[in-house]
Amino acid sequence: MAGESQNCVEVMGPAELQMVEKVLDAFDRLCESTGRVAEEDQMQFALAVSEILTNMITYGQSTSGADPVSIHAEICVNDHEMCASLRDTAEPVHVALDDLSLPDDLLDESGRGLAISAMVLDRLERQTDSGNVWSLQRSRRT
Amino acid sequence: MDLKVNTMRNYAVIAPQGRLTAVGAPSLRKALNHLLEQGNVRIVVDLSETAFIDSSGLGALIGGLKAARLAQGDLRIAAPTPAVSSVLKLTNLDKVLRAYPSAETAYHGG
Repeated sequence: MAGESQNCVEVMGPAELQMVEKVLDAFDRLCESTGRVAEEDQMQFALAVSEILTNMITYGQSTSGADPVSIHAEICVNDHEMCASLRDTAEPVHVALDDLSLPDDLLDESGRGLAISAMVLDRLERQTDSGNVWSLQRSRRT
Repeated sequence: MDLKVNTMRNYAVIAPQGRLTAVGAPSLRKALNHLLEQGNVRIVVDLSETAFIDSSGLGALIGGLKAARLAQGDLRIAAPTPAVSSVLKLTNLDKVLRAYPSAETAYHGG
Protein backbone atom coordinates (compact mmCIF):
# COMPACT_ATOMS: atom_id res chain seq x y z
CA MET A 1 0.00 0.00 0.00
CA ALA A 2 2.87 2.36 -0.72
CA GLY A 3 2.09 5.80 -2.08
CA GLU A 4 2.50 9.50 -1.56
CA SER A 5 0.73 11.11 1.41
CA GLN A 6 -0.88 7.85 2.43
CA ASN A 7 -3.20 7.80 5.41
CA CYS A 8 -4.34 4.62 7.12
CA VAL A 9 -6.69 3.53 9.84
CA GLU A 10 -6.85 0.25 11.77
CA VAL A 11 -9.71 -1.31 13.69
CA MET A 12 -9.52 -4.55 15.67
CA GLY A 13 -12.13 -6.41 17.64
CA PRO A 14 -14.43 -9.40 17.94
CA ALA A 15 -16.20 -10.66 14.83
CA GLU A 16 -19.58 -9.11 15.63
CA LEU A 17 -21.76 -7.18 13.20
CA GLN A 18 -21.19 -3.98 15.16
CA MET A 19 -17.62 -4.19 13.85
CA VAL A 20 -18.97 -3.23 10.40
CA GLU A 21 -20.20 0.08 11.79
CA LYS A 22 -16.93 0.68 13.63
CA VAL A 23 -14.88 0.13 10.48
CA LEU A 24 -17.19 2.31 8.36
CA ASP A 25 -17.00 5.04 11.02
CA ALA A 26 -13.20 4.82 10.94
CA PHE A 27 -13.17 4.98 7.12
CA ASP A 28 -15.48 8.03 7.17
CA ARG A 29 -13.10 9.76 9.59
CA LEU A 30 -10.12 8.81 7.43
CA CYS A 31 -11.75 10.31 4.33
CA GLU A 32 -12.74 13.39 6.30
CA SER A 33 -9.20 13.91 7.55
CA THR A 34 -7.76 13.24 4.10
CA GLY A 35 -10.27 15.71 2.71
CA ARG A 36 -9.92 14.96 -0.98
CA VAL A 37 -11.89 11.76 -1.51
CA ALA A 38 -14.81 12.12 -3.91
CA GLU A 39 -18.17 11.08 -2.44
CA GLU A 40 -18.70 8.41 -5.09
CA ASP A 41 -15.28 6.84 -4.45
CA GLN A 42 -15.87 6.92 -0.70
CA MET A 43 -19.35 5.42 -0.89
CA GLN A 44 -18.44 2.65 -3.33
CA PHE A 45 -15.36 1.60 -1.37
CA ALA A 46 -17.33 1.69 1.88
CA LEU A 47 -19.91 -0.51 0.18
CA ALA A 48 -17.33 -3.16 -0.67
CA VAL A 49 -15.81 -3.02 2.83
CA SER A 50 -19.26 -3.42 4.36
CA GLU A 51 -20.11 -6.37 2.11
CA ILE A 52 -16.89 -8.27 2.71
CA LEU A 53 -16.82 -7.66 6.46
CA THR A 54 -20.46 -8.71 6.81
CA ASN A 55 -19.67 -11.88 4.88
CA MET A 56 -16.64 -12.63 7.08
CA ILE A 57 -18.54 -12.02 10.31
CA THR A 58 -21.67 -13.90 9.25
CA TYR A 59 -19.94 -16.99 7.91
CA GLY A 60 -16.62 -17.10 9.81
CA GLN A 61 -16.44 -20.13 12.06
CA SER A 62 -14.02 -20.39 14.94
CA THR A 63 -11.35 -23.02 14.59
CA SER A 64 -12.23 -25.90 16.89
CA GLY A 65 -11.04 -25.18 20.41
CA ALA A 66 -9.71 -21.75 19.52
CA ASP A 67 -10.68 -18.32 20.81
CA PRO A 68 -13.73 -16.58 19.30
CA VAL A 69 -13.12 -15.12 15.85
CA SER A 70 -11.62 -11.64 15.74
CA ILE A 71 -11.25 -9.13 12.93
CA HIS A 72 -8.36 -6.83 12.03
CA ALA A 73 -9.21 -4.21 9.42
CA GLU A 74 -6.73 -1.80 7.88
CA ILE A 75 -7.79 0.77 5.31
CA CYS A 76 -5.43 3.15 3.51
CA VAL A 77 -6.09 6.06 1.18
CA ASN A 78 -3.50 7.79 -0.96
CA ASP A 79 -3.68 10.15 -3.91
CA HIS A 80 -4.40 7.36 -6.34
CA GLU A 81 -6.25 4.56 -4.62
CA MET A 82 -8.05 3.14 -1.63
CA CYS A 83 -6.95 -0.22 -0.22
CA ALA A 84 -8.22 -2.43 2.58
CA SER A 85 -6.84 -5.52 4.22
CA LEU A 86 -9.52 -7.38 6.16
CA ARG A 87 -8.25 -10.29 8.27
CA ASP A 88 -10.01 -12.75 10.50
CA THR A 89 -8.96 -15.63 12.71
CA ALA A 90 -11.69 -17.95 11.44
CA GLU A 91 -11.38 -21.34 9.87
CA PRO A 92 -9.99 -20.77 6.37
CA VAL A 93 -12.76 -20.99 3.79
CA HIS A 94 -12.62 -21.24 0.04
CA VAL A 95 -14.75 -18.80 -1.88
CA ALA A 96 -14.87 -18.72 -5.69
CA LEU A 97 -14.26 -15.14 -6.75
CA ASP A 98 -14.39 -15.67 -10.48
CA ASP A 99 -17.66 -15.27 -12.34
CA LEU A 100 -19.44 -13.36 -9.59
CA SER A 101 -22.83 -12.09 -10.67
CA LEU A 102 -25.99 -10.61 -9.24
CA PRO A 103 -28.93 -12.99 -8.68
CA ASP A 104 -31.00 -13.63 -11.81
CA ASP A 105 -34.18 -12.97 -9.85
CA LEU A 106 -34.33 -9.31 -8.81
CA LEU A 107 -36.53 -10.32 -5.87
CA ASP A 108 -33.92 -12.60 -4.29
CA GLU A 109 -33.21 -11.24 -0.82
CA SER A 110 -29.57 -12.34 -0.62
CA GLY A 111 -26.58 -13.33 -2.72
CA ARG A 112 -25.49 -9.87 -3.88
CA GLY A 113 -22.64 -8.98 -1.53
CA LEU A 114 -19.63 -10.43 -3.34
CA ALA A 115 -20.96 -9.46 -6.77
CA ILE A 116 -21.46 -5.86 -5.63
CA SER A 117 -17.93 -5.81 -4.21
CA ALA A 118 -16.47 -7.06 -7.48
CA MET A 119 -18.42 -4.39 -9.38
CA VAL A 120 -17.11 -1.44 -7.35
CA LEU A 121 -13.52 -2.63 -6.88
CA ASP A 122 -10.60 -2.89 -9.26
CA ARG A 123 -9.13 -5.77 -7.26
CA LEU A 124 -10.68 -8.25 -4.84
CA GLU A 125 -8.52 -11.10 -3.56
CA ARG A 126 -8.74 -13.61 -0.75
CA GLN A 127 -5.92 -15.58 0.78
CA THR A 128 -5.86 -18.04 3.62
CA ASP A 129 -3.20 -17.68 6.25
CA SER A 130 -3.84 -18.52 9.88
CA GLY A 131 -7.31 -17.20 9.00
CA ASN A 132 -8.71 -15.41 5.96
CA VAL A 133 -7.27 -12.27 4.42
CA TRP A 134 -9.31 -10.21 1.98
CA SER A 135 -7.56 -7.52 -0.07
CA LEU A 136 -9.66 -4.78 -1.63
CA GLN A 137 -8.44 -2.04 -3.95
CA ARG A 138 -10.18 0.72 -5.87
CA SER A 139 -8.39 3.36 -7.94
CA ARG A 140 -9.76 6.81 -7.28
CA ARG A 141 -11.88 7.93 -10.24
CA THR A 142 -11.83 11.62 -9.40
CA MET B 1 -29.52 3.19 12.59
CA ASP B 2 -32.71 4.69 13.97
CA LEU B 3 -36.19 4.04 12.62
CA LYS B 4 -39.06 6.49 12.56
CA VAL B 5 -42.52 5.04 11.95
CA ASN B 6 -45.60 7.13 11.17
CA THR B 7 -49.00 5.66 10.46
CA MET B 8 -51.08 7.89 8.21
CA ARG B 9 -54.72 7.43 7.15
CA ASN B 10 -54.03 5.46 3.96
CA TYR B 11 -50.45 4.34 4.34
CA ALA B 12 -47.60 4.00 6.81
CA VAL B 13 -44.19 5.63 6.55
CA ILE B 14 -41.04 4.07 7.89
CA ALA B 15 -37.83 6.10 7.77
CA PRO B 16 -34.42 4.49 8.45
CA GLN B 17 -31.91 7.08 9.57
CA GLY B 18 -28.18 6.54 9.17
CA ARG B 19 -26.63 3.44 7.67
CA LEU B 20 -28.81 0.53 6.61
CA THR B 21 -26.44 -2.44 6.92
CA ALA B 22 -26.58 -5.89 8.51
CA VAL B 23 -26.67 -4.12 11.88
CA GLY B 24 -29.92 -2.28 11.21
CA ALA B 25 -31.56 -4.51 8.60
CA PRO B 26 -33.14 -6.91 11.16
CA SER B 27 -34.81 -3.93 12.89
CA LEU B 28 -36.23 -2.74 9.57
CA ARG B 29 -37.53 -6.23 8.76
CA LYS B 30 -39.15 -6.46 12.20
CA ALA B 31 -40.77 -3.02 11.89
CA LEU B 32 -42.08 -3.80 8.39
CA ASN B 33 -43.54 -7.12 9.58
CA HIS B 34 -45.13 -5.36 12.55
CA LEU B 35 -46.83 -2.83 10.26
CA LEU B 36 -48.16 -5.63 8.04
CA GLU B 37 -49.41 -7.60 11.04
CA GLN B 38 -51.31 -4.49 12.12
CA GLY B 39 -52.97 -4.33 8.71
CA ASN B 40 -50.87 -1.48 7.32
CA VAL B 41 -50.22 -3.02 3.91
CA ARG B 42 -49.44 0.20 2.02
CA ILE B 43 -45.98 1.14 3.17
CA VAL B 44 -43.55 3.88 2.17
CA VAL B 45 -39.90 3.55 3.12
CA ASP B 46 -38.66 7.13 3.33
CA LEU B 47 -34.95 6.97 2.45
CA SER B 48 -34.27 10.71 2.68
CA GLU B 49 -32.17 10.25 5.80
CA THR B 50 -30.61 6.90 4.89
CA ALA B 51 -26.97 7.79 4.36
CA PHE B 52 -25.81 4.37 3.18
CA ILE B 53 -27.22 1.00 2.17
CA ASP B 54 -25.61 -2.34 1.41
CA SER B 55 -26.96 -5.72 0.29
CA SER B 56 -28.30 -6.51 3.78
CA GLY B 57 -30.40 -3.35 3.67
CA LEU B 58 -31.50 -4.14 0.12
CA GLY B 59 -32.55 -7.61 1.31
CA ALA B 60 -34.74 -6.08 4.00
CA LEU B 61 -36.43 -3.80 1.44
CA ILE B 62 -37.05 -6.69 -0.96
CA GLY B 63 -38.36 -8.87 1.87
CA GLY B 64 -40.76 -6.10 2.84
CA LEU B 65 -41.86 -5.60 -0.76
CA LYS B 66 -42.67 -9.30 -1.17
CA ALA B 67 -44.48 -9.50 2.17
CA ALA B 68 -46.53 -6.37 1.42
CA ARG B 69 -47.55 -7.68 -1.99
CA LEU B 70 -48.48 -11.01 -0.44
CA ALA B 71 -50.79 -9.08 1.87
CA GLN B 72 -52.37 -7.39 -1.19
CA GLY B 73 -50.49 -4.18 -0.45
CA ASP B 74 -47.27 -2.60 -1.66
CA LEU B 75 -43.98 -1.18 -0.47
CA ARG B 76 -42.72 1.94 -2.20
CA ILE B 77 -39.60 3.95 -1.59
CA ALA B 78 -39.31 7.72 -1.43
CA ALA B 79 -36.60 10.36 -1.68
CA PRO B 80 -33.52 8.13 -1.69
CA THR B 81 -30.23 9.89 -1.04
CA PRO B 82 -27.67 9.87 -3.89
CA ALA B 83 -25.73 7.10 -2.10
CA VAL B 84 -28.81 4.88 -1.89
CA SER B 85 -29.89 5.66 -5.47
CA SER B 86 -26.44 4.69 -6.67
CA VAL B 87 -26.66 1.23 -5.04
CA LEU B 88 -30.20 0.65 -6.30
CA LYS B 89 -29.04 1.44 -9.83
CA LEU B 90 -25.88 -0.67 -9.50
CA THR B 91 -27.96 -3.71 -8.53
CA ASN B 92 -30.80 -3.01 -11.01
CA LEU B 93 -33.20 -2.83 -8.07
CA ASP B 94 -34.33 0.59 -9.26
CA LYS B 95 -36.46 -1.49 -11.67
CA VAL B 96 -38.50 -3.07 -8.87
CA LEU B 97 -38.20 -0.29 -6.29
CA ARG B 98 -39.09 2.82 -8.24
CA ALA B 99 -38.40 5.93 -6.22
CA TYR B 100 -41.06 8.54 -5.54
CA PRO B 101 -40.06 12.13 -4.80
CA SER B 102 -41.52 12.09 -1.29
CA ALA B 103 -43.44 9.89 1.12
CA GLU B 104 -46.52 12.03 0.53
CA THR B 105 -46.51 11.40 -3.22
CA ALA B 106 -45.81 7.64 -3.10
CA TYR B 107 -49.49 6.69 -3.02
CA HIS B 108 -50.86 9.88 -4.53
CA GLY B 109 -53.46 8.77 -7.01
CA GLY B 110 -52.90 5.06 -6.45
